[in-house]
Amino acid sequence: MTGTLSINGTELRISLRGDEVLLDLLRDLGYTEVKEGCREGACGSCLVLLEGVLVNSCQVLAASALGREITTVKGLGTFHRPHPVQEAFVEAGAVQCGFCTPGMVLATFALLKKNPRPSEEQIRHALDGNLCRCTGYVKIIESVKLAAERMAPDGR
Amino acid sequence: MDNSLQRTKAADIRPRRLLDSLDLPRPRTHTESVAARKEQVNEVAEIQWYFPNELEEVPDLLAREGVIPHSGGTGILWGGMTRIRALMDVSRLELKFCRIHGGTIDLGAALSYSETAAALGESGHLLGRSLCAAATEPLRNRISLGGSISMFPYWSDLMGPLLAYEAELSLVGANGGARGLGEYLQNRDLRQNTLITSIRLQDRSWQGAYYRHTRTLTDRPAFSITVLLRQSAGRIEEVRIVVVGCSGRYKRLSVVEKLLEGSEVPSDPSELLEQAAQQLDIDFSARMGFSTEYLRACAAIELKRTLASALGSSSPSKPGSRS
Amino acid sequence: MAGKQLKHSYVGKPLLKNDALALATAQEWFTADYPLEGALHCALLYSPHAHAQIRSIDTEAALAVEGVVDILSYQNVSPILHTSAGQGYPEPSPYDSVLFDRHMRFVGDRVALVAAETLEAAREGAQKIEVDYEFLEPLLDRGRAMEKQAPKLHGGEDHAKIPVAYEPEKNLAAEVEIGFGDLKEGFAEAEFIEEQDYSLPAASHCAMEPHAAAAYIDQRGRLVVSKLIELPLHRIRVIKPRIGGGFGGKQEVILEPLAALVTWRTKRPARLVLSRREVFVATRTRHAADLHLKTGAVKDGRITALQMNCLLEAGAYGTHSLTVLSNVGAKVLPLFNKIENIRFHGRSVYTNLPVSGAYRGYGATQGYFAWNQQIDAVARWAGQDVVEYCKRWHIRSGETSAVFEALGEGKEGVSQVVQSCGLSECLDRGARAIGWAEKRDRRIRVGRDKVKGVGLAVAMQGSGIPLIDMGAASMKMNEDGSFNLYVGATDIGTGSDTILAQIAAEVIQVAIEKIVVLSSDTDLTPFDVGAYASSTTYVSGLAVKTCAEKIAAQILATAASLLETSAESLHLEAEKACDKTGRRSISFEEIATSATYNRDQYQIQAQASYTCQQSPPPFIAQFAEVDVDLQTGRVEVVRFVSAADCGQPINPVLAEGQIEGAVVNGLSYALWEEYLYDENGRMTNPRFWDYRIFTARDTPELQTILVQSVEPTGPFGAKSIGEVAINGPAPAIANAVYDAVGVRIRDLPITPEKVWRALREHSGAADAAGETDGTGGTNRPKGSRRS
Repeated sequence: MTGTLSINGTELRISLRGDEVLLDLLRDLGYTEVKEGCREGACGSCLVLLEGVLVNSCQVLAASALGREITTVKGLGTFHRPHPVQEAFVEAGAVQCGFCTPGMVLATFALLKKNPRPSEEQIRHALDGNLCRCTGYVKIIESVKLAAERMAPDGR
Repeated sequence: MDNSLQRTKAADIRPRRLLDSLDLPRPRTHTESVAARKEQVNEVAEIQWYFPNELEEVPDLLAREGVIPHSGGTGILWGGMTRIRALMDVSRLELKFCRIHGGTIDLGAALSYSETAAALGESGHLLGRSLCAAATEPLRNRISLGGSISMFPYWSDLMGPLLAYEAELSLVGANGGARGLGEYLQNRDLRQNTLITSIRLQDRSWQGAYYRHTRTLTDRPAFSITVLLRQSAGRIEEVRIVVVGCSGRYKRLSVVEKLLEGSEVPSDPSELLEQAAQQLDIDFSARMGFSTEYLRACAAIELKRTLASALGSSSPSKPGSRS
Repeated sequence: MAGKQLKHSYVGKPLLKNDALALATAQEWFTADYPLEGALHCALLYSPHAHAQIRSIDTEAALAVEGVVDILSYQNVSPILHTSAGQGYPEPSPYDSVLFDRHMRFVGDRVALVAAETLEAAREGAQKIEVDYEFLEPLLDRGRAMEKQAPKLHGGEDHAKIPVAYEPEKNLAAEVEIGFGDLKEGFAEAEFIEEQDYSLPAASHCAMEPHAAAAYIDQRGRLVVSKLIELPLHRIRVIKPRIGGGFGGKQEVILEPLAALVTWRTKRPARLVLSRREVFVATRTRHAADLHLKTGAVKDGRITALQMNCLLEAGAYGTHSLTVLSNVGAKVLPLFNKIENIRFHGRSVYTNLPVSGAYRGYGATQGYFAWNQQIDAVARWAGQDVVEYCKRWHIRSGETSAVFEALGEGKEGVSQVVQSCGLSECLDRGARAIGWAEKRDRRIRVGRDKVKGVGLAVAMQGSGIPLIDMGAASMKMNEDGSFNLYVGATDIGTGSDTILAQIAAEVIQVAIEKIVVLSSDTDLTPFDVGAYASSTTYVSGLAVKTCAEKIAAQILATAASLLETSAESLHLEAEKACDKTGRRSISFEEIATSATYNRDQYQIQAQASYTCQQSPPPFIAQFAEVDVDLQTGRVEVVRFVSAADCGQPINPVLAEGQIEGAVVNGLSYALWEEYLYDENGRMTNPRFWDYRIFTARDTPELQTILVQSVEPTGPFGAKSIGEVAINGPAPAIANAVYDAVGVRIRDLPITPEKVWRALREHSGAADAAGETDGTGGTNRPKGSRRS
C-alpha cells in the first residue's frame, strides 16, 4: 500500500506493507535516531511523537500512522541548534552511552508540554517507559528538572 | 531419557515456536531504497487496511472475512501478526470522547488510557487512577479502552474498575446495541464481527480503591483488586469488589459483598475486614514467579488493605501500586 | 604526592562529557545505524536443543529463497578452536569453541548463518534450513556436572592455552585453590562459627543497545570490522562506532567474526544485529554461583578462619570462567587482610545452558553477596556494630594481603601494597547519610505492617589487571595549539574519551575542547585492552599522562628556544608557556606554528604505553534502608547510600554516574533478575516483559558520596570506579532485611515470596518483629548459632 507521512515537518510519499511497524519504516527511511532496543514496547529506545503523543514506534502499525505527523528527536533539535531539553541532559551529566537518550529527550519534552512544573514523582512516572542501564536514572531526573526550570511555560 | 535417534527439521518447527525461543534479527539498514522494498517476497499475505469515516460503514466491513478492529494496535501486535488478514482502523470514527452528564459517564472506545485518565481528572476518579498506574507512559498513550476490553488479558488494569462499575458497552456490527460488560465477556459470540463504540458508567459518589500486584511498578499485575463502596450514617450501603487475574480470569466477590453490606463501620475496622477476608474463596495460577499459595495469601491481605483504603478514601490518592 | 591533594585546573572538575551533545541530538551512529550501501543482512539459526549433535544440514531449500546469498555452517567454515574472550594473550579461558560446531551445547548455540539481500529473506532462509539432530542428554544442573555419569560437553581438542586446571572430561572448565595458615586450628580456636550456603542466578547485562556487528571492504581491499578468520592481521581494520553500553557483555568477539566472514566471502558489506531475545539467550550472562562460606570468630570479633568454596556455572563454553572464579576470592579475601587461616577453593563447570562471561563485578559480586552476610552475622554475634567492625578490620594504606600474590586472574597474582584507602571515611560518612544510628537494630514500625531495617556491605575491586593490562596513547599538536589524542581505550558510554582528555589537559594545561579524542580504530589508535577490569582511568589514564608529559616537554623545549631561555625556567599555564615572573610568555599557537613551519621544523608528537604494575583497589561502603512488609514479605528499598573511594575522581559527575548506574543494576539483580529455564534447558523469560529491571519509577532515593583519597601510583591520584558499586546492593539489602525482620535470604533474587516463607518458618522472629527494640544494641545470645 502507499500513503503519505509527515516526519519532522517533511512530507513523504511512501510505500509500505500492511503488517509493518512504524519503527522499521522510520529506520528504513533513514531515521536511524529511532532505535530498536527490545521490540516489545518495554525499553523506550524507539519512542517518537505521533501527533504530539509519545508512543513506542515498535508498537505502532505503520499504516495507522499514514496521514499523520511524526516527530523524532531530530525534530526537536540538532547538534547545532539543540533543544533546551537536550542541553539540559548534557549539562546534568545524564548522557552516558547515549542509546536511551533520544527516547528520554522525547519523553521529557512530552512531559513538560503537558506539565511544565512536574514533581519528582511525576517525572519518574512520565519516564517509566524509558529503560536506562548506564545512569541509574539519577542524573536523567535532574536534567528533567533543569529543563523545566529553563523552559518557558509554553513548553517551547 | 530416550537416546534413540530423533530427526528435527527446522522447517517443521512451527515458525511461532522458533520465533518464541529465539527471535530472528529484524532491524533494517537505512540504505534500502523504497523500490527494493516493494519487490520483497514474503509468504505472509499482505494485510488489508480499511479506514471507515462513518459508523454506518462498520457492520459491512466487519462482516467480511477476517476483519478485526484496530485502535491502538498494541493488543494486535502482542497476539502476533501471522494470522491477521485485515484491519479496520477506527481513528476516523470519532470515538474519542468523554461525556459526563448527570451521573453518567460515556467514554469513547478509542480513548487511550492516558486520555481517559486525563478526561476523568487523573487523581479524582478510580478508573483514572487505575489506568495511570498501568503499564508505561507510551503504552498508556496507545492502549485503547475498546481494544483492551476485546482482548481482556488477565493482566488488564481496566477491567477491574469497569466490572465494578458494571459498565455497559455500546456495540456496532453483527451484535449491535447495548450490552452489559459481564454479558459481553461471558459470551464469545458477541465479540465476533463487532465493534465496541463506547463504554457507559453510572457514577454515583463512590469511595474506592485499586490494588495491583506486581514485581516492579511498570509490571503487568498478577492480579488486581477493585473496591467501590458507599457509606452513609456509618454503615456500608453498597460495596462492589472485583478481582481480576484469578482463575476464570475475574471474579466478583459477592459473598464478601453480602457480608459487608449493611455493616456498621467501626473506627478500627480490622475485625470486620478480617471476617471479610475469611470469606474469600479464590484461586490463582502460578505466574510471574509467584506461587498459587503466595498469590492466595496476598489476595486476602490486599483485600483487607484495599477495603480499608476505600473506607478511608474521601480524597484522591496517588497513582501507584495501590490507588 | 602521597596524602596531599593538589589543586587542579581540569582534573577533578565536572567538565561536560565531550560526546554528550552529539549523543543527545542523535548525531552519532551506533553499529546498526552505520550507513552501508548494499549491505547483506544476516540471520542466525540456533539450536532448539540443549544438547545435540548435528548429523547433517541441508541448505538447498534455504538457498532457493529469493535473496539469500550465502549460508555459513560447519560445512563451509573451518573449525578453528578459540575462545571468544579477549583479555590477554594467551587467553586464560579455555579454547573450546569454534564458529560453527556440529556439537550443539545449549538452546541458543549457533547452527548456521544466512546472509541475504533483505532481512525477511535471511530469516526465511534460516527457517528453511533442514537440520538433522541427534538428540543428546542435556546437563542442566551444575551441582551434578562433575559426576561420572554426567553428559560431557567438551573434550577432544579443547584445551587451555596456559597451564591451569582444565579437565573437560569432568566438565571442569576451571579450578582454583589457595590457602594459608591452618584452617583446622583456626576453626578449633573459634567460639562462633557461621557456615552457610549462598546462591546467585545468571543475569543479563541488559545494555540498551543489542549486540551488533558490521563489516565491509574498504577502497584498499581491506576488511573493516566493527582474527578468527584466516586473514592476516594487517588486512583487517577494526573500528568502534558508538556502543550502547556493555557492562562486560560486549567484551568478547561474539558477532564480529561472523560479519567479517560474510563480508570476506561475498566481498559485500554485511550487518548482523541481534534481537533482545537473542541477546538474552545467545550472548553472555553473569556466572550463576553457589557459594559455601564458613567463618570462625572469637569473642572480640577477630576472625580466626575463613573457608570459601565456590561453584560457578560456565554454561556451554568456558569464557572468563577461570578469571571470574579467581576474582571471587581475589577481590574479596584481601579486604579483611588480618585473617590468618584462609582457604579458597572454587570450580567452574560446564552445563548445557547459556554461556557466562564477563559481567561488571566479575566474581566479586558473587563473593561479596555471601561474604558481607557472614560479616554481618559475625559482628552481631560479637555484639559489635558492623560499621565499627568493618572499620576495625579492613585493609589499610601501607598494608598488603597474601591473597594479592596468590590469586591473580588465571596466572599467579601480583603482590602489592595498598597505598590509598578511604574506606573508614566511607563507612562513617555513609552511615551518617543513611541514619544508621537512628535505624539500626530498632525495627522501627512504618504504618501498621512494615518494619524498617538498615544494612551494610563493603567491597573493593581493582584498577586493571596488574602486569597484564596495557594501554597506550599517542598525541600530536596542531598549529592552532590544539591536540589530537589517540587512544585504544574504548568509550562505551563511560566517558573515557572525556576523562582521558582531562588528564592530558591537566598535564599540558589546555582546555579539553582543544583536545580532539579519537579512540578504538586499529588503523589509527594504539593498543588498549579495553573497557574491562576497571582499567581505563588507571591504566589508559597513565598511558595518556605519560604521553602528555612527553608532549609537554617538547612544548617547553620549543618555547625555550623561541624565548631564548632554558626549558627549566618555563612552565605551562592556560595554553601558554610562561617564565616565573609571568611577564614573558608564548602561546601554544605560536609554539606549534613555529615548530611546524619556521625553524628546525618537526611535528610535536609523542606516544606512550603503560602496563599497570599494581591494581590499586577502589573501596566502597554501601547502605540500604528497607521497609519490609511483614504480611506479604515485600521489600521496598527506601534509600540507598554509596560512599566510594576512587582516589582523586578525574571527573566527579562521571564517577557518580558510574556508581549510580552500577547501584541500580545491583538493586534490580538483588530483587528481581534471574534466568529461568524449562526442563529442556530453554530460557523461559528472555524478554523485558518477564525479566524485570528497574525503571525510574522503581528506583529509591540514591545518594552518592565521593570520598577523596590520593593514590600515589595513579594519574593525579586516581583509581578506577567502573565496577565496585555493583557489589553492595544485594548484600546490603539482605543485611537490611535481617535487621528489619530477623530472617536471612541467602539466594538471589530476594523476592517477596521468599521473605514471606522465611517469616512464616521463623515465626519466632516474626513475633519479635512486633516489638520495637529501643536499645539500639543487639540482644542475641552468644555462642555457636546458625542465623
